[in-house]
Parts: sequence; C-alpha cells; structure tokens
Amino acid sequence: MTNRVDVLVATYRRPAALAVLLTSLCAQTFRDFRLVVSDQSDESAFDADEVRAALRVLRTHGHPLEIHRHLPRRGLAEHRQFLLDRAQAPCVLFLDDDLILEPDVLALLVHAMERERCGFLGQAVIGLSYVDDVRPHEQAIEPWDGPIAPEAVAPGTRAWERHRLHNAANLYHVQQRLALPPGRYLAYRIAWIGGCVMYDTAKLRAAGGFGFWRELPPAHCGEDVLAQLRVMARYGGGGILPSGVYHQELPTTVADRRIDAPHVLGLDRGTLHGPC
Amino acid sequence: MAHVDVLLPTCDRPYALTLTLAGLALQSYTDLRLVVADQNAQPLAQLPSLAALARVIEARTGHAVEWHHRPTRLGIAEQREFLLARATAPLVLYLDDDVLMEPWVLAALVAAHRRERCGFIGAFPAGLSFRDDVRPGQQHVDFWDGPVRPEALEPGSAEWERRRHLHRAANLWHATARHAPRTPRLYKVAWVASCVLYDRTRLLEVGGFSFWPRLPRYHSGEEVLVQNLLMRRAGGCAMMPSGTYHAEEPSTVLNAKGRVDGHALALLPELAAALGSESAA
Repeated sequence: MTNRVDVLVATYRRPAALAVLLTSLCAQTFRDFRLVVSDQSDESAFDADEVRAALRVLRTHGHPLEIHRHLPRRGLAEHRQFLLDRAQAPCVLFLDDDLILEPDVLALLVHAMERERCGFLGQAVIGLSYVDDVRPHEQAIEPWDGPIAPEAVAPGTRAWERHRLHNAANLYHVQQRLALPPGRYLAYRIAWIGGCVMYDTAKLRAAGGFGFWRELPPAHCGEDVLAQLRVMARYGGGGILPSGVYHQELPTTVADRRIDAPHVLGLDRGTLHGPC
Repeated sequence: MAHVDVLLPTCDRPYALTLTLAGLALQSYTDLRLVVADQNAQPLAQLPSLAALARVIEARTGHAVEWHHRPTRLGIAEQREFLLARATAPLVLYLDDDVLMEPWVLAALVAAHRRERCGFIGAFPAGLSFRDDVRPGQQHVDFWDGPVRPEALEPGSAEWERRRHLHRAANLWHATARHAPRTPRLYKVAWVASCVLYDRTRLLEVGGFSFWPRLPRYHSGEEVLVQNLLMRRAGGCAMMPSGTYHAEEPSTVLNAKGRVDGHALALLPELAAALGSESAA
C-alpha cells in the first residue's frame, strides 16, 4: 500500500543538518508519508550517530524508510531524478537537507494540494538570521485570487522579480503582518520556490521531471527552478504561507553556480537557449 | 518571564545536542526559555545548525536564548547548580544533551505538574537500539493511581531495585507498549534521568545541587540524590509514555578510566536528616 506522500531528500556532506531535518520529520502532525533519503557524501551519512538516532525514531513511528548511497555524483538534477524514480505516492515532497520544519508543514501542504489540484506548492525557506533586516521593498506579494492556473514565467520578465519575496526573512515579516488564523493559508504567485516543494507526482513526471539532467554538465544549479517552470507552464504552481520552514543557513554545497539550468535550458522540453 | 526555564548542560556531544535542540525547538508548548551551559573547548553556539535552531526557539517562544560558554569543567553537579542559579521560572526542565523529544512532551509534563504539584516529573528516554532486547522480568510498573504523594525510598531496598530496572535498556518502552496508556500515566520511580521537570521552589528548598563542592570531580548520582530528597518532601514520578528517546552516545561524565570517583548518594543520610529536622522544627 502506498503512502499519500513520499518525502524525497538528497543529501551531501552534512549529516548533522540532515539529522535536524529528520528530527523535524519525526515531529510532523501528518504521518502518512514514506521517506527516501539518498546520500552522495564520501563517508556515508547513515553511519553518523545523530542520523541513525533520528532514523530509529522515524522507524518507531512506522514510516517506511528507503536509504540509498547514490554514487558517482552526476549533479543535483540527476540526483533528484533518481529520487523521483523511486516515488510511488501520488505526491512527492522534495526537501533540502538543511531545513527545519515546524510540525504542521506537511499537513498544510497536503491540505492545500488537495484543494488547489495544481502541479506543485511550496513553503518558502525563511532565514531567521535576517529577522531584524526588514525589507519593505521586497515584500510585494501577488495572491492567487481564483484557482491556481498555468503560468509561463521566464528569466528576465517582470514575473521573475517575484523571487525577491523569498529572500532573507521577507516572507516571515509578511506572514507576521497577515497573521492568518491557524489552519488557513494564502496561495500566492511565484517565479520559483526553493527547499520545500510538494509536487503532484504524475504532473511532475508528465512535465519531464528532472530528465533534462542529461543535457546539463554535472556542475549546475537551478535544476529545481527549471523543473518548476516547466510544471508551472502546464499545470500551475504556487507558494503558500504561512511558511513554517527555516533554513539552517549552512554554506551551500553547490559550489559551482556558473551553469544555471533555467538560463541554459528553456521552458519547453528540448528547447535549448544560449547561456545568459 | 517564561513559565518553564529549560536548563541544558552540554559537553563533547555537539551532534546529539543538535537533535536535542531540534526536539526542543518543535515543542507545542512554547512558554519556555532556554539556558545552555556549554563546556566544550570551543563554544558551540556558532555551529550553523545550532545557531539556526536557537533562532527558531527564539522566534517561537519570544524569549532570548541564554548561551553560557564555560570551558572550566568542575563536574555535572556544578553545571546543574550554575544553571539553577540562572533560572527565574516557576518550573525548570533539566534536559540532557542527548535526548530527542516528541513535540507533545513538555506540554504533558507541565499539565501533569499543574495537576499534581509534586517535586518532579520525568520523561525517561527509550534506548531504541535495545528494541529487540525484551526483558519481561524488568518491566514491572507501579503506577500512581491517586495523587503523587511524598515517600521515603531507601536506596538499595527491594522496591528501589524493582523500580530501577524499568529504566534500563528499552524496558520502559516495552512496558509502554504493553500498557499502551491513551493519556500519560504517572508511575513510581527510584529516580529518573535525562529529561526532568522540577518545581523550582521545591528544588531550592532541598538545596538544589549546592552540595557539588563535596563531590569528587568525576561523580554521578547528583540527580538521584536530589530526587530522593524531593520525594520525601513533595513526591516525584515519571510519565508513561515518555515521548523521549536517547541519542545513545557515550557518557561524558566519566574519568579517564571510564569510571566515576564518587556517587552523590553518599550524602543522602546526612542531607535527609538535616531536612527532616528542619521540617520537624
């Protein structure tokens, strides 16, 4: 029997951060999920005591667990496609390995996916170290007034500027001001959303998933952005707030950011654009 | 002022500590303030994951985290006394740096204290690596089926031994599976370690951990002693299910030979007598 959600985590060289993320999963009020973790570290993350301790608790909660050592490294897009190929549930939640999730994050995403029926929804990641850095000029928000609809958003357009809302702690400041009652959410338009994104598995696959990895060199970034742009163009996607997702604010493990997927590959599958 | 001050001594277990703070950061009960006594050579507060968790705790509770770096190591009882002196809340939760908590644990402990008004209530962590080590002879549980009452329990007595076994390996976890209480039940203990909510006034009445200078540098049993004294005056207990798990890392209170040089219970006859004559007076 499949779970309602498969949680997919790609990890690389940060077992302590991963253990914190796994602890957040132990605390979720929504329990009907399976967890698939794939590790590309040189030393297995699954040998770290703190990761083992958190996995023991998840097992105790009855979650089916699948752990993989997926080597050699062929880039994040290939790693994500590998995870997507393991998925069985109607929804997949891609989580970065350096997040902290409040206990109601999964419950709210599942509830919103059931209502919105779009390609994906995410909760943007808040950097709490910026809590005193209030940026009114980056707080513009465009709520979805009706149902979430397909949208074509391309780099360099005005809609692309929506990404600024997800900088620093902007979203935190916006949601503090809105103060929605518990259980309520607001869906809003995005350019893309990082870190914590739930997809309709069939729609992500229909849009090609991360199969474009073969068209990219192993050193790239923006693969999640590109997948979202393609799903959004066909099925729509959005952000929901309040977000209960926080960044652990570790240095990035994607050191080489010269190849940015959405700038190299276009919205349409197979269309090749020149580098920006 | 918060209702609960969480007092967390930590030493040489940065990764287990991240799990502990993650569990604390996600508690449904948020009227808490965290005070850390950090005895690592280098302060841990700057480790990215720990710093991020401290920020989440501050954002969710509204109370600034107090992080004391104090590398001079005088023993765990001294650490606990230092932390107690920083506390201002009516309740204090002593939380070891290798405990993973379910999100409901603190709320359940505070609710139980509101009902019982006893000296302490613990949530003893399961050692899940012992899951398959089932010891039916060590799973006996004495529940408090009325209010928690004061009791004088002699260390080493038959009753003490019986209660003590429940907190070995995964015995409590197996006993919990058998009793399967729908809401937390309180049971009798010899003592309870790792995650214990104390009534701060009561704890101060028995002297807290001020006996620390009388112990050798490497010691154990400081909470056993304090809890035995508290049980005599105000009663104490632990909660089932506990909702806590051990990170299962090696102990950090031992000397180079892997032992302790003294046990705090050696002070029990004297301290119990002093408190007894004081309450008689």
